[in-house]
Amino acid sequence: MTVGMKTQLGILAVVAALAMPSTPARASDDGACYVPPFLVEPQAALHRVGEDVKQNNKLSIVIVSGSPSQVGGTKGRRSYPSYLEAALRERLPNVDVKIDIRVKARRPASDLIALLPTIAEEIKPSLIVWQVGTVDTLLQTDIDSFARTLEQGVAAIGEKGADALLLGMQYSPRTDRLLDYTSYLNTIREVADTARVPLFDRYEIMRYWNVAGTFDLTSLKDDGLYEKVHTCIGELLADFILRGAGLKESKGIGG
Amino acid sequence: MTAKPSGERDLRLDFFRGLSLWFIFIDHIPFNRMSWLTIRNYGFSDAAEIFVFISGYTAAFVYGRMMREQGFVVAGARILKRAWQLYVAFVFLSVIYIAQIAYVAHNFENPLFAEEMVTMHFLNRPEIVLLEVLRLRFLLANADVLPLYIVLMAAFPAILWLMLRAPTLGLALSIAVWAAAYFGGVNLNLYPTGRGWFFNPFAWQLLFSIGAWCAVAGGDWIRMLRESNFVITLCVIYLIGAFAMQTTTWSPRWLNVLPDWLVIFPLDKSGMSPLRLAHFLALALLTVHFVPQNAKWLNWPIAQPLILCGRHSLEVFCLGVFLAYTAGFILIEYSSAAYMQILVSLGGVSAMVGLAALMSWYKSLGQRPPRIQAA
Repeated sequence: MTVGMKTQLGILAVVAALAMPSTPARASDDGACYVPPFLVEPQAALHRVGEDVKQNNKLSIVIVSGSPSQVGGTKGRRSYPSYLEAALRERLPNVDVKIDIRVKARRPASDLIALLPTIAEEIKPSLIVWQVGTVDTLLQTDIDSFARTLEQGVAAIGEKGADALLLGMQYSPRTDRLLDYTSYLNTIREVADTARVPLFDRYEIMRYWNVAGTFDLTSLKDDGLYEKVHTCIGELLADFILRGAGLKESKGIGG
Repeated sequence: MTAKPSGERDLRLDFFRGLSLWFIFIDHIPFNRMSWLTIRNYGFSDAAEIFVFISGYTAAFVYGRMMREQGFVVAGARILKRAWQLYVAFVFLSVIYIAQIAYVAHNFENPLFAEEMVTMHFLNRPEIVLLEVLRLRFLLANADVLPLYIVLMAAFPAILWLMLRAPTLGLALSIAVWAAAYFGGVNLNLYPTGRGWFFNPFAWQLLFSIGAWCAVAGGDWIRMLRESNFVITLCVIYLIGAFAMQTTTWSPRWLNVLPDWLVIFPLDKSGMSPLRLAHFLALALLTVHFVPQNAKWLNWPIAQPLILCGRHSLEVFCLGVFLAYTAGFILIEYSSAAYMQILVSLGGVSAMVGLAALMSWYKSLGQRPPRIQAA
């Protein structure tokens, strides 16, 4: 699928969710985290992950992020890396799963890129999940240099022999109209597409949940939404990685 | 719809404009399932096209006569007064909108979006926000038709002047400007995102201008087209095809059966996709074909609330923006249950009719001969 088509499908999923008479979380057939399968279909393979799991029974992942409140350390809450780790351990019982987190608080991608080669050499992970978009959108980084940073970062990870995975920003309905997410989203999608790395498109996934009524992301209160969303992101990301590594059946576009 | 300079009021214009105002209101309430009662999900175009087209048509009809009889300056001044009224209404609504954003920012405790909430810091500079409102660069959520209407009315003296003198040239220029917007992405910018207007005025002026052209010069063309069975058949086929295409957006599973080249959605609404435009024009042509100006049902009591709303479109439209906004606020902050969606939709429509009735009453006061008090 091309970037344009993926984007269109994403928009359509939302349109369709809006249009459906009533779509509660389909707990019965697809679980409480349901999203249309094409939103969580890896667009490229994670060879290194597949090899490490099959041959060495180990899976080491490093998550790199500029948003501390989204990867842990927020008043002792469990965030998606923690749920991801639990989900992977459950799905790969005989594999040594280890997840590390590297954060540079509120620093743009151009500051995080310096971490990537060091991480690849010191930890030698199977996979680096690079969470991008939020900080650069907030800072309104120049869009061309943002694209170049992503390209260079993804290439640097590949050179060190690790798999790369881009993880996009959250969908935040309260602030969505106040920031220009679109061009950053498109840039992330284009880079993932041309560099052939899987993109876990959190924005479209969360937008689908919000519209389908799975979660009410407009909530102002601290009412457990954080844990629910991070649980689902962790679960979906685990399956996404396993499908990318050929360790789990693809659900296919038709679902 | 043919312009009869001295004819009586065309009730169809009022009726369908009233209908479009109801639809716009209902469609603009976020997550409102009542929008299944509007035309949005049944074809390419929606109520916004109806509203903009009829607004262009009536504006040219009313101010065109004024411009011919009383000159450019008088008519231009009257049009700009109208634009000014819209502008004042827009500023009023924006104040309420900003108050809501500030409320959200103040009460926000949801840790999920701790990073994103930094955005709200722009509220720390209220002087900038307020000036951007006045510059039409800070627009209300889901209510961009209003600023579009302001810009179109502000430019209308020039458009109308040209349409009265050289309608074909006027239409050609309008198409050229649309092309610059559709193909070249020319648009106005917004604060604080730098995004373009959702209703790109350079694109949407085309529909307004087509409406104006129909009113001042298009009479013969419309008569010819609506009486041609071939054209009418073509319109029917196009509308059926558009309906069939639109149904594929009702469910993501249905989408998957479409071949790639048929995945045309979402059609560009900001830039006024030619497919949307053609859809609206086909719809309009079928309407004038099947609904004659003297259609009996236009005088039935059931049509009167709509005609009333269409007749006071400025006031009703602004109220609709405010109501859609308030309804969205209620659904998001309190309850979005189905009965609430029906309740806020019906409540809003009733309020719009009520305001239109009130405006008619005010107008009737002005038309009474002044009574002379006995000393």
